[in-house]
Amino acid sequence: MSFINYAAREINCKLVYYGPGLCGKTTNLQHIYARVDPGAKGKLISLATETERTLFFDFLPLELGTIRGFKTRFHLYTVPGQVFYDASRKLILRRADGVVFVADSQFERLESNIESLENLEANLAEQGDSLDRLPCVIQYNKRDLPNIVPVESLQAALNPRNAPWFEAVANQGTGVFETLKGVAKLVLNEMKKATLA
Amino acid sequence: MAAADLILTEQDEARLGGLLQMLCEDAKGRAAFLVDRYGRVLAAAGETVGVDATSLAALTAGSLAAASSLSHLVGENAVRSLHHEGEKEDLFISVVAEEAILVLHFNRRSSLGLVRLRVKNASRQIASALTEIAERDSSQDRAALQEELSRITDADIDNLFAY
Repeated sequence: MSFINYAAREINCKLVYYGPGLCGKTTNLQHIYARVDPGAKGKLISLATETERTLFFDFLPLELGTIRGFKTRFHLYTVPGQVFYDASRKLILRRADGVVFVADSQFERLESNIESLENLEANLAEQGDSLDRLPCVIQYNKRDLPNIVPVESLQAALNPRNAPWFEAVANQGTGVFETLKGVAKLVLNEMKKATLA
Repeated sequence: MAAADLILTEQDEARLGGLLQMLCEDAKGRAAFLVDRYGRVLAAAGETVGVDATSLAALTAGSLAAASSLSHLVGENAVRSLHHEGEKEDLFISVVAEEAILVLHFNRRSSLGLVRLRVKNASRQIASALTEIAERDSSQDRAALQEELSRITDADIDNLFAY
């Protein structure tokens, strides 16, 4: 659900980075935080354990500019990837306007990607939503590693809806903004359609 | 994704801001924020300069959700309020009309008792304002919005990421 403050002429969108543990969700936000102009971003909040694993969520507010007189604000969240933090994932997913599913391209993580995607679908279904309706893009991360699954196989396993997808090496910044732009475009276009409906 | 299901007009913002300002004065609070359950700021009043309201809203929603999950563990269904007690600065967080959360920032100039009392009164007024806003016929606002949003092009969106 987007929230439009007509008085302040602000469009607020909530984007959630989802995916298995250690796939690079937080790394995406850290790169965005490092690259964006100081005036365009708030604090990057990470509620993490001592070992830097996301405990509750990471949160980064971005104000990238104005579209047709509306300040466009994106609230970026990551969910904790570890299996046992499902309650946090459900909470953060509520009222999301768009999802980035970050997949770990390594062979040994394929099963975890599939489980996480199924978990995403189950949690969306629980709140009456689905990937058929919610704007979603897929990021195939860690493309620089040697033991990676070919994109065609990842597509077959993880992207039956043929959502927009991006290859990335998030710790080097490759593909990070392309992914964000991809999901932002879907969300804003969906907002146009929903308002017209 | 549904259409924007909450559209705040200038009048709405002024009305909610006025109620928050009154709460600040009555409760001797420093600032008051109205945020939604999903972590977004709806309105604010008082000493808000220098306060990162966006982060405050996201963390408030998260904190309340965590407290609700905790309470489920001991057989309680809902959390109505939370008190964050600091050495000098306190936050009182209270659920309003199920979908919104009122946050009052106060210090030793006030007291928890006074804050509780004033927040309870203000919550009723804010809940009633929110209900009126939600139930109001917003078709005119939506039509104006539709007109403006329909002009957004892919090039406009590309320009947001021009770095």
